[in-house]
Amino acid sequence: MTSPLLKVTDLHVNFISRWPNEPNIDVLRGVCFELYRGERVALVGESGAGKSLLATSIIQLFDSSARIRQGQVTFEGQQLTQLKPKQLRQIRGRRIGMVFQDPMTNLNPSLTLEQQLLECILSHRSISRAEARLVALHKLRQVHIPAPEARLQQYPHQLSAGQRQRATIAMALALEPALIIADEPTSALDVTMQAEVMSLLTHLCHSNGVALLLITHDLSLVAHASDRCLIMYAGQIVEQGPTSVLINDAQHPYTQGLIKALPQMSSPGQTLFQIPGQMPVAQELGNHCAFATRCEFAHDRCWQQTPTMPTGNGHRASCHLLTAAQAGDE
Amino acid sequence: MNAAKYHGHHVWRRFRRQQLWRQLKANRTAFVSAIVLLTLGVLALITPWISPFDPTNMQQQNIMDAELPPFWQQGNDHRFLLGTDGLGRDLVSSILYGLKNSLWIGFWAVLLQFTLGTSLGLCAGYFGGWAERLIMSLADFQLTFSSLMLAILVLAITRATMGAHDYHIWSPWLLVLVLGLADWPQYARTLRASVLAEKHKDYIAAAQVLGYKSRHIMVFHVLPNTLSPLLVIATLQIAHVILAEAALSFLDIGMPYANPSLGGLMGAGFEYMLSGIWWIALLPGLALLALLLSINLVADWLRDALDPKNLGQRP
Amino acid sequence: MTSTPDLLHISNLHKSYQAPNQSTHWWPRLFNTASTSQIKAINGLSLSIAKGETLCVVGESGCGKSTLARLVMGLEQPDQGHINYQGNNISGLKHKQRQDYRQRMQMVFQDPYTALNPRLTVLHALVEPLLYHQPQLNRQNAIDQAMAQLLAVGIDPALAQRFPHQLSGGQRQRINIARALMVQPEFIVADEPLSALDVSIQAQILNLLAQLQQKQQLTFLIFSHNLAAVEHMADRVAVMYEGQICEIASREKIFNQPQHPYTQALLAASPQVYQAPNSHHKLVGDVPNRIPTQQGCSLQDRCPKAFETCRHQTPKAIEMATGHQVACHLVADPTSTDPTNHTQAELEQGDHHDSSH
Repeated sequence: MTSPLLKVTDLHVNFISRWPNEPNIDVLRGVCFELYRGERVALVGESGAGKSLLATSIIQLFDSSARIRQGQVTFEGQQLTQLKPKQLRQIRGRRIGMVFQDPMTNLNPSLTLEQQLLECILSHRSISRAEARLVALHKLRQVHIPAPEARLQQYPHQLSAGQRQRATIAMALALEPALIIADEPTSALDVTMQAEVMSLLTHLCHSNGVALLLITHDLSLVAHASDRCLIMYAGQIVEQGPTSVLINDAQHPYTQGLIKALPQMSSPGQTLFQIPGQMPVAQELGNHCAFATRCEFAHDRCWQQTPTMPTGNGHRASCHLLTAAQAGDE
Repeated sequence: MNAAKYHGHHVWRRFRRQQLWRQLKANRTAFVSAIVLLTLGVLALITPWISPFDPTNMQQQNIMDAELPPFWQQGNDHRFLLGTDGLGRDLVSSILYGLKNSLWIGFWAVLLQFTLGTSLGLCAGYFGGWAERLIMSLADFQLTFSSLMLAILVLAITRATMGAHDYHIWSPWLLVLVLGLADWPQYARTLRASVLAEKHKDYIAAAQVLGYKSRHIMVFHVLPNTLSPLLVIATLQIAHVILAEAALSFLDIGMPYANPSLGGLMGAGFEYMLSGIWWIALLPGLALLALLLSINLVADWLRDALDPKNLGQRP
Repeated sequence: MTSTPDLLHISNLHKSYQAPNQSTHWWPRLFNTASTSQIKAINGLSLSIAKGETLCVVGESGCGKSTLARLVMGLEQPDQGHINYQGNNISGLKHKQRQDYRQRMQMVFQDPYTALNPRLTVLHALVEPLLYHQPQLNRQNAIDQAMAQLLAVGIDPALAQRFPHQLSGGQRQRINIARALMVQPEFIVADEPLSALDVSIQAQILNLLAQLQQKQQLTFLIFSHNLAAVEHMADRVAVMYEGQICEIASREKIFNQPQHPYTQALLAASPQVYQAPNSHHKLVGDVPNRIPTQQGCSLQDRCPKAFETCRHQTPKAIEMATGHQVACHLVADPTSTDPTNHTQAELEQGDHHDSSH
């Protein structure tokens, strides 16, 4: 068995409270997952689940008020949590690329594409300007940008939204990283662009052997674009497994609810299945299952102890219902 | 009960729910500077009653007491805690009166600026069209002049025509008028910009869809959401006006030497600096520094504190 | 005016905006003197909505959806064309004359956070429209009505004293809906009411809208790009591209027999959990910026099936079947006898058979 490319163990991240007498409450509460070379993993969760915080925690690019309280992030055998800022900078971009939600804020509006791409390449690789330009052109072609030579001379506002996002993907790929973290890469795009950018991203990562951590709130978007899927709820991963298995046989009531709540799942005019209530904020979480407040199957045990994620590699979920069922089987 | 009344009913309640006090306690820097500012403000208000001497009263001055050092230095006099200036005036009293004068000018000048700038800016944002173009052109025109330059020009001419004696009788009012009229474009421009920004937000569209008249929307929806940057500007402007007045006094076109402001005291003390009599300039300078620093820090805090996200109980 | 059975009837609506000054010389840019081009946001659009139905308008960003919503609500005035509400022209009315219709039609906005005044509590936001329009109303009475409305949209009245930033996205959208309902409207325009919400919350809001419609006999005009949600709630669907309706039909027709290449591409691109994405109906290129320099069909540069006629002639809406209109040269007009049209239609039909396998 090969060792994972990225291994996150028991990660707790909290925000330092602005108020003196308030405790700092964990927003990420013991996140564990592994990501192997070349794998495409989707991280699915609602807003507030902590998925973007998890992504930024991996490369420690978060807000200054956030702090890793406990846990480890191991990337290519290195402990990222113990690295100095300078060493971290070597890893960001060079080994871990990022694609953010809004391509307009992702690119500097006052520099041409060439200036930005070359700056990105030259700051990490010791090659000549001409060589870097060739790399940039090659990557732009890979992301299907028409007439890349002409595009290089243009400013971000002269490109369309889809082209901008493809340019940022090219930028992330240009340094040949081992992992690309894409945070909602298509949610600022239109439906027709969305499908194209998504397939481009997954195919390019696949063909270049780059692992992809795809963060999204939309399960249907990643259903066919990822090998494995992590479902996140209230700062924890509640279910994980191969995507095709997970969507056809969801174990956790939350995942089941997410799928059942999709409008496609019921015939027009029918009342949709809905998960009642909303995700609790970090302060409201007690020593019980975080989903118990909204779960239709919640029973006494759910209110008494927090379920744990079973160990293993396959499809698994942290829910008392499942552990009870397994105990019954044995 | 109509909607406007209902709004009015809630203004004070909303102000309380901004939880300014709780936020002040949470921010140590702001808390300390607020206390310093409050102390200085109270001292300025009660100056005539607590001041050991009256620096404006020539009768209490004795040239024999001139240039006495503060209490920790050799040769001090127990009557003059912080020493005396070149005319033999007590520095404690002079600083207290200077503080009073500086704050007085700062307050009234800023009130004038605020009223003028806010009403013109609101008119520009509200009416649009030629009113907006006229007001904004005026503002841009005025912004091409440095406000201090303008003040120097006007005050110097006034002083030359009035003569020094008459000028010093009127100088506090002239300073308020000139400094108050000089800086209104800042308010007008900021207000117009935030009015334009707020006008395009969905809640304004929602209010229009609900059938409210523009005046109602302007007063109860747009204005409350655009006032907080103005309050911050106004606070900072107090510091700015005090500084400008200090500069003018330093140039001897500000407050008269007989009734000095902090800046005037510094200016007068400056010529003694080189002869080793540093306290005449430095001690009022320190008071001015404390005043300006505390105002700026309080303004910084106010900027965050007035964010609507701080409204209401924290969950 | 003759009265029509339609609640709302839009005919030949036009609206353009000034394009940003594209001049390359500093002089015209500085003084704004160059003749600026117009962006056509709405380009000859016609539409009608019957009482009690839900019409969903589908389209990508920049197709003029929001402009249409604002025109219908009277937040902007059309350059040309009419909007008739129950037979009366309501476009171009002055504030006073409009007042009557304001309370009959209400709007739900896309971003539930910016649609609420950040300095007003939930209760205040709901009570304000009541007290504004009925000044004689007792304050307690108004509060009671607001509380009842909160319950109706599924909000705990204990949250009435909260400020918008203290609520979750789903709660804010419910408040927006409650505020719109405070004036007892009969017609609701919703501009992307779901797009700012989480998936599990979208289902809640969809159910709420359906439930309110049933209870209060509301008519909905919903703008959305979320085809799954549209399929769930629409009675009729209009597909919009470049300020025009390119296809309009009942829900079944649009989702089962889409005729316009753009509708087909939209449906193919819509993400599905259990179906792999369909790459057959793919558009090329991006949404163009709308400066009308070209003739012909607005989709011509992106349409994989575009042919000569599309470059020269703007397609007219053709009634395919009752209530199913398509504006595309590929589609045959059943009333026309033009032979070229027929060949194209057959070509198109053949294409369809391929794609269904």
